[in-house]
Amino acid sequence: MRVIPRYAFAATAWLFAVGVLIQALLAGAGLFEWFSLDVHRGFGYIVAMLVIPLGLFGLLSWPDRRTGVLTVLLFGMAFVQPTLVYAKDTMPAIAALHPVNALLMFWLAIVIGRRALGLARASVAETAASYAPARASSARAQPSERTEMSAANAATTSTAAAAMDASRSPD
Amino acid sequence: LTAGNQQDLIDQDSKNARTARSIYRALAWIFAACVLIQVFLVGMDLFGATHDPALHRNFAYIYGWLVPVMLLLARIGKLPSRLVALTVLLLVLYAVQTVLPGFTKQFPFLGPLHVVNAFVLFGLGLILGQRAGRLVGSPPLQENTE
Repeated sequence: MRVIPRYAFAATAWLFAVGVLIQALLAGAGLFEWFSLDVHRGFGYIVAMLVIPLGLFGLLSWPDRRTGVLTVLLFGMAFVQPTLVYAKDTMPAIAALHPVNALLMFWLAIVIGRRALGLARASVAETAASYAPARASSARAQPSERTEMSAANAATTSTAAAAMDASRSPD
Repeated sequence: LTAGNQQDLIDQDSKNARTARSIYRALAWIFAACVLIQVFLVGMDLFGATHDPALHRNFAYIYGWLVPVMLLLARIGKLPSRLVALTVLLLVLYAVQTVLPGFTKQFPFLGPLHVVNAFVLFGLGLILGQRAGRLVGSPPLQENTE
């Protein structure tokens, strides 16, 4: 039941990491005067918004404690990220943590993405394992039915063969 | 060489390799930490905490020597070929990183790559530190084929 939210959780975390990387690209483009820094500002809010579905899928996928803590940490860091810039005039050294936080968020998102993917794969394996014995037991439980079915199949096959022989014979 | 001497040489070789791996791991983590400090320094300059861009530039040359040393230690530590290849990649990316700002006047599109490359260098440093950490306690000769 948790397979889909877990895959969605992993996908959102990876998407967030890619978003941070694009955001870094946009910051670089602004700093090296390729194009305006406003694009970086605008896109930053879109990337930050991704932590909402990330947290939601994180809750639904019921991850292990460590992944949960890391997700909460990423949530907090994404929340703090735009506010760090506002300290520019009063505490520039705090504002300088803005790119550092971005680097850490990027890494954290990758770690969460990998862990969530591992969880999703484990869920798939668990589901497959829970279905496999049930299928085997149902096959073992009714041997008489199987015998009847194979007998019916054999009869059908022999009838079909006889029909083919009859169609091949000249008279 | 007697069998005993041969064994001594193997033991010594193994010990050297393990030491090299430990140092390699430490250097990989230090490299990642230095990238983080480097990013902080550029932030200090951008947000007006310092007014000396040379601080960011000069710091890069301080920790840049870590990568060739890591490559040397990777060979001594008989690290798996994949790790050696990643260390070579780190060296190449680091070299690219140092020259990228010089070309931004003529080619402004190369400027953003300087920032993105910093992210890649940081990630690569962490990956190398983590992977080398897993190999520190293991015998070097068996681990050589990943």
